[in-house]
Amino acid sequence: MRTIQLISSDNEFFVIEEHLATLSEHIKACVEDADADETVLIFLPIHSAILSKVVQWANIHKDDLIPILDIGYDSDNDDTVEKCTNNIDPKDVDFLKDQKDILMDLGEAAVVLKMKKLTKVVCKTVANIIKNSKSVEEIRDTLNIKCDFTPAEEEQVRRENGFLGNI
Amino acid sequence: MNSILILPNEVLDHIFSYLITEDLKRSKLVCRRWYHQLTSPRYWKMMRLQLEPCRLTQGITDALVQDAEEGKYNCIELFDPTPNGLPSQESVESTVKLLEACGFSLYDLRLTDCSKSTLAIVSRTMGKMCRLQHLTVNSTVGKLPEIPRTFFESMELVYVTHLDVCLANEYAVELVSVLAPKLKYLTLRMIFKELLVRCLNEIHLPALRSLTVVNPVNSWILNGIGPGEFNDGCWRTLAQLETLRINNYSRIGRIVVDEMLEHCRNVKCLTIEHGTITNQGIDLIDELKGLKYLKLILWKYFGGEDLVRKPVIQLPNLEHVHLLTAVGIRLGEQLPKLASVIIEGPDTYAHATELLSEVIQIDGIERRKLQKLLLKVVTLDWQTDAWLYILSIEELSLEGCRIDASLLDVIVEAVVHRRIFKLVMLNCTFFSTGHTQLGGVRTIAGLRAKCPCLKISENGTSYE
Repeated sequence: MRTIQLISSDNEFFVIEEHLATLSEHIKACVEDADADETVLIFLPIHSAILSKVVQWANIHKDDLIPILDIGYDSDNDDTVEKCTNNIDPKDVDFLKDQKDILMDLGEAAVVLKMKKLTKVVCKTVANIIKNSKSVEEIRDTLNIKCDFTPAEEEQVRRENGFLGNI
Repeated sequence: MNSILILPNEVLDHIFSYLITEDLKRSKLVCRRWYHQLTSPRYWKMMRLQLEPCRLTQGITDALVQDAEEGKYNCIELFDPTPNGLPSQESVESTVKLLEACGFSLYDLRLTDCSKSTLAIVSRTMGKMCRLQHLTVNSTVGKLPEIPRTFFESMELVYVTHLDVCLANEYAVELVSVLAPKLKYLTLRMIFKELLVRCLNEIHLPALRSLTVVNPVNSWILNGIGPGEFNDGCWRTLAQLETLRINNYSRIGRIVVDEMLEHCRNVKCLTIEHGTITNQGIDLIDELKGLKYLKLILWKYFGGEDLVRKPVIQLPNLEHVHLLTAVGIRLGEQLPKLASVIIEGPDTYAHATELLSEVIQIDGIERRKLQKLLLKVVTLDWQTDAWLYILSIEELSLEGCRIDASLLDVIVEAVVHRRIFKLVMLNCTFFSTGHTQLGGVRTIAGLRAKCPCLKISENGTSYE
């Protein structure tokens, strides 16, 4: 039996089940060449606090892995432009509800691990935050962005934006 | 929470791809990186499609349809350079095909100088545009287009919340009335006085949050809108507004503006540009306690009987204020949230200096929240240096200002020891008045030598 161990940036070990690897292109690529009974160690530039959440998320989706495997999780198919953001899986909504503080870290980890599905969920969640924000200031506050425009530049952008600019 | 800025550009693009134009416009204002990302040609090429239906051929259409079906276009602008020409059969078919392909992903439809036949084509495909939110109907040439009945009928099929109309005829009113129940944002440009009055008086706009009126035409022929012309219908609409912008309304009587201000009690963002206002009007603005954004760029300010009294604004929620110094309005001490101030000259009136000193402090109370200060075409003499001591100020922009060269020392002081981290000087002129108490920095080059990390744009800056 092949074992896959993920090692976080602070040297914590996470043993994951093999079929979880299919959620991450990165892990999949690492595992592909390994022998059937080998132990694969994957060093990741991700802190254990975040990595544990990623593993937790993968476990939540353990059961819907089968259909994904069936259609042969095709990254190209997944890239079609989609606009709808209120169709996030309820399981993910529940999961991310408590993870507001590490949402960006999860996004970063998802990019590193090339986890399309997690990236998508995080992106949709952020898009929803932007959509539901009443003002630019609210977006900056919620997403923790410092405004680096001068008033003149900001005014200029507002002008560019036209008459609905500063809603 | 870690900042979203740790995410790579591709992920940001992914996030932006879920947003509609209005959200994207707002996102552009968030920070520089987002701005650059959202204005990069790569991005907008993907998002927005501009078309001249009469020139569409089978070949072009086929190339576009595939992208359209993948939902790449959520904004389409159609315009007819020759609105009266009859379209060929091929162009009609192509337009229909393309619009149908885009239909589902389309959020923003702009119709500029469209001919009757193009509008008829658009109405045929309207049923497919189930996500359409923004509609713009413009007539930029002298000839007004004829809008076919089917176009108004097709409006029943869409859920448009943002309407921008630039039509100087009855159609403007009709379009507003067809879409009235759902409208949240309404912009009326170049609209005739009678039509504006009808729009606001007769049409019930239950969901409206933002109203913009730009340059009512023929105001130079007819008298402006006088008192009593707007009725309860208009007042009811104004009462629910969060944003009111009136631009170049010089012929909407100033008494009427007072009436309007009296009724928009919930407004958060108020802009009056190129207009006139009375003293009482400013008192009324001062009662809009929810106001966050105020911009007053006025041609004339009528003090009425007591011209000597300068009106003071005291607004507990005001965050941004943009004033023309000539207006003569003062900033009061009760502006606890004030974070950004723009003072615009020409300062032929000594008021700029006075206003500037009020920006800093009044009766010993400092403006603790003030972060950004932009001064345009204002003279800064040796006496006005106190504004540099605002401890919270982070960004200082000076555009077209005349500055006493001695002030450069003070600016250096502020940059080195205080929080100013961004300084912009554009087209400024320095003059010397013989203040020689401080020997030190006398030129921009000297300023730069002292603060190498400072960003200074000094285009057009000269010395007298």
